[in-house]
Formats: sequence, structure tokens, C-alpha cells
Amino acid sequence: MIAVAQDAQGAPRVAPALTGTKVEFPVLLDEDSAVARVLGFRIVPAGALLDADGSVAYASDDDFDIGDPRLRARLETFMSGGRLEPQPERPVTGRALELFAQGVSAHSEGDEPRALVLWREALAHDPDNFLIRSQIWAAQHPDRFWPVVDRDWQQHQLIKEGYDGPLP
Amino acid sequence: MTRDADSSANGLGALDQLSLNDLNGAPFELRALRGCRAVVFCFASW
Repeated sequence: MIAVAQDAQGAPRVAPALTGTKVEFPVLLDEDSAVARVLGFRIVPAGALLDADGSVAYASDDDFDIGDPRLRARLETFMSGGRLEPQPERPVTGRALELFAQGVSAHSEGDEPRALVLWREALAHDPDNFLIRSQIWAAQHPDRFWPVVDRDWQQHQLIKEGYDGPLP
Repeated sequence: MTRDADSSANGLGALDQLSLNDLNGAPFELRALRGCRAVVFCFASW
């Protein structure tokens, strides 16, 4: 097992989030969400089950929670060597995450205004992508994310931004 | 929603080509997962 942080802010934000956990597997940084781009993830938590040949046996960004009985059943089947039902091909919005990755590059070079322009353009391509939306929020309003995520603020922010849907 | 010709969630091999760093900056090639069944869990600090 590996964990992959979809976090443009990198290790300084991710490492404290692991404090006190008993994680014994590799935790990797994926600042520009390359894994999400490949697997079609638009929010976290999300995850995938990989076969020994590297193929994706299962991927989800809407039920990848160990408390979810559907995932537990799939995991038990998969880890005991069973086969999972094939999934329909997952739609992905590659252009949005490409723009997002360009924004991460600008961000890492200290050009926050350029990063925000690119991230907003990315979000316009895929308004349902909460990886992108949350990164914009986190960059502009870090006090709403660390040390504690303020979901009430996020809900109000969604309304302000005219998003017609619930906060995932 | 659109689909890019070169991008597919079921695009086998695409993950294999990724190399990420761990929290200490050490590189990790995802192709190292080949040979056994693996779970990839994505999360964020926010």
C-alpha cells in the first residue's frame, strides 16, 4: 500500500497531517495531481486497486473510505486473490488537470498570481473538480484549512461562487 | 465533461511511468508496485 498526497503545498502541509498516525507504508507527494490525472479523480479521499501487472482493477473517488462496506467487500475480494467486476471507463478531464499542473509549477516558483490564474482556468474546464477548487481555496484562505478545515466556510464559499451543487 | 485522447482512467501503464517523492524527498517509482496487488490511497492535508 502507498498513500499519495494530492497537495500543492507539499511536505510542510502534509507531514503535520500525519502526526500521531501509525502509517507504516510509503507516503508520497503529488503536488500537481498526476495520479489524479491518470485515474480521473476529482476529489479526495480516493484510491485504486492495482493488479500485479500494474493494471487498474478498481478506482473510485466517491466511496474510497474503509468505513464504506462496499469498499471493504471489494478490498477483501481483491486482497484474497479474487477478481473484481470490470468498471465502466471513468471519464477524465485531462485539460483541467494539465492547467492545474502548470499552476503548481508557477506556485512552486513563487508566482502565486500566475498560479491562481491557471488554477481558475483549470476550474472553468471542470467546475466539479474539488481537487482544483480546494487548492485555490487553500492558497487564498489557508486559515480556513489549517490547522482545522472549516466546512461551514466552504459551504458559504460555494454559494458565493455560484456553484450549483452540494459540498462533497 | 470531456475526454482527452491521451488520457484515460483505465490507461494501463500510465501510473507505472510516474515517479513521485516521499516526504523526505526520496524518489519512488510507481512501477515498483508491479509484481503484487497494491492499494493506492489518495488524500490531502486540507
